[in-house]
Amino acid sequence: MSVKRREFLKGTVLVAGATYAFIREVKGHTFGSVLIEPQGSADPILFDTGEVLSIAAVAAQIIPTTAHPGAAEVGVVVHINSRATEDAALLPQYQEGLASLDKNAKEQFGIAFYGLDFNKQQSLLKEIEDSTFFAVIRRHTLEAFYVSPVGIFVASGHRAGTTHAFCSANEGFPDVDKKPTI
Amino acid sequence: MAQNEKVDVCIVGSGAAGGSLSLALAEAGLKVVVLEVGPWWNPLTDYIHNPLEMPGRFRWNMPVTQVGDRVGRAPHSSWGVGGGMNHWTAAVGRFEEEDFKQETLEGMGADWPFAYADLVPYYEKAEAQLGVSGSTSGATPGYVQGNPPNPPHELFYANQLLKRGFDKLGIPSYSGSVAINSRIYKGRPACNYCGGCMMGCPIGAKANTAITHFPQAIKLGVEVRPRSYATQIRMDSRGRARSVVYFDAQGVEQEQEATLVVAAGWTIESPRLLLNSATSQFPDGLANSSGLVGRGLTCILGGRIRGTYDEKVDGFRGFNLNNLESRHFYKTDSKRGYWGGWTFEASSTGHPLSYANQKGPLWGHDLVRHMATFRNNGALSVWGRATVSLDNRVTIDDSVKDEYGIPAAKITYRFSDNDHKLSQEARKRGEEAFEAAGAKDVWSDGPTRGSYWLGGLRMGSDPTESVTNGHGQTHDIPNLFVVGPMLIPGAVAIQPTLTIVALGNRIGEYIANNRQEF
Repeated sequence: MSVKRREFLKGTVLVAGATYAFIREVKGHTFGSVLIEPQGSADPILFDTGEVLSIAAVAAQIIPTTAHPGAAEVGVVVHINSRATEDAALLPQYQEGLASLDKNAKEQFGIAFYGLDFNKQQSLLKEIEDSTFFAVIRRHTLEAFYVSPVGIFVASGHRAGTTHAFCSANEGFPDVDKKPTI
Repeated sequence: MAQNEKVDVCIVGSGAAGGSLSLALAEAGLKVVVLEVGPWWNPLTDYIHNPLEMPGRFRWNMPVTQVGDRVGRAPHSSWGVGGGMNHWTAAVGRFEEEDFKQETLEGMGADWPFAYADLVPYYEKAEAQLGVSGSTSGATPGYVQGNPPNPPHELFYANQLLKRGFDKLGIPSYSGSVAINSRIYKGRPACNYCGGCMMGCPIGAKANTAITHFPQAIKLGVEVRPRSYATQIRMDSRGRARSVVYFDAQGVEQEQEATLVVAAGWTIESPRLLLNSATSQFPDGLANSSGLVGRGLTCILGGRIRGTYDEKVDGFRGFNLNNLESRHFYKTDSKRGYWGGWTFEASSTGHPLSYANQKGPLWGHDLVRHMATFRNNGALSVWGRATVSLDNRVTIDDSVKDEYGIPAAKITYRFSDNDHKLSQEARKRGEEAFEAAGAKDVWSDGPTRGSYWLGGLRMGSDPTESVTNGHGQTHDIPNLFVVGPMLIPGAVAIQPTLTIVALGNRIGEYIANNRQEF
């Protein structure tokens, strides 16, 4: 079911809040990416709340949060929603993949995928890691993370500018012939 | 169809070929119109170093069918005034003397219709126009040396380590030539080493005919028409090129009459234009009496070696290619058991999004561990001489048409066994260099086609074995010319852009000096 962005955010906060409390109680896991405000995007959200939570959970498995931020800290859902808005074939692909993932979760563990603990989620994803669906969500998760200022900083130790990937505009690396100092 | 006032020369394409040619013609006083399918980018506002955004902006959404080793859609070279020079790495170098007589010396491809020495003055002019930075001495003995106007760039830290590996193995290497300013040159700034060359240079330190040629050409009267998609070269009743038909930015069909027409677009699109312009007099396409239009398409064999050091090297800093070069293995060595050779060019680590996929579809903590090596990684490219085959070619695909109903191009290309052998050894030698440099985790991939297409409208002395003569003039139609990498009849392992600019200068001079004959 498609909802407008504002309605989606409101609903998501409520649902995610409830889910968050449940999950935290069970395994201390969060879905930070669900709550990221879309940046400059007015695209209607194409996914329902359960799908949003599942996407966020899969993304957090693909780039887990460690001592450094992971996919949970950037707007993966928003990015995937944008991709699905641009390419109509993606939405059914996502919906089928997520439904299948949920079905497996319920058959094996009795609850939805996003409600499972980290290790159980990981074991279910290993079963589908060679699938087309997993390749797509992996690609989109990497796009969202490593093109974001957060991901670039985690990878390179440098802060991206508005037009440059690794530095503020026109600043560059005049010390390129020297051993990195940071 | 809207008609335009007749000009002396109509050039299709505004990249290295169209840019250099248009300036040479304008300097001789000819009236020139340049048709460019893409927009005129504003470097400060349009070049965004975002790998999700910029490649899409640069890519012309024109279908190209592929069969052979690769199937599906081909990435198109970038469009816009400047052509591929918007996204090029700006690695440059003169071809080797032997490249000009490859058939005679090595039985491969075809000889050029002129010698290296004939192109030297035009190479020098091209180096000055582009502001090449590089060594004027120190290249490997036995190999040609350019005459760059700017000093070489310092070796980047990652490449200082890699050079130690080459030195240990006795492989000569040096700061390579790039068309990127090492100092302020002709009003353009020195490189700031931001690392984003392939997504456009916002400061103009990297050469691009949009800033190195067209400003002067326009002052001299050249008219550049962006967003103009050429679909046909029309002929007159005497079998001479009469005009170019194109769709303008509003989709209005226009006709530009000219005394002389030049196909100077991309290596894939120029044969397509000639083939799609077939008439009853030229039923197999224009200038195709030899049957060679589209044939002899040749890539430069690409490959990449990566090595991870114990220390951070931040190999993403600096321009993307050829800060360190070696042509030590360029020439054929019969002891290696295959034809051809390769060039080593140190390359950038690239963007994290690309690096994340370097070791397969990793995810989870495996991916996190891999990405923790990003700052410690160095990279080296190999560019190999590919087997030249007339079976590798561009044709038109009647089953795939563009929005105007014009058949798209089809690329048929297969690597040879020789290509695989060459690529395998090149990568092995590169891995040895990284290991000698102290890298612990070393891996490579290839062969790939690289980004450079050569051939397809080859030049030569014999009209039955080539499409044009040594001045890019088609054998069949005296006022139809070709300029670009399509002319190159053999294989090389050096980026062709400097040579394309040299050819543009040389052919421009020829046209200007012989204008009365057209």
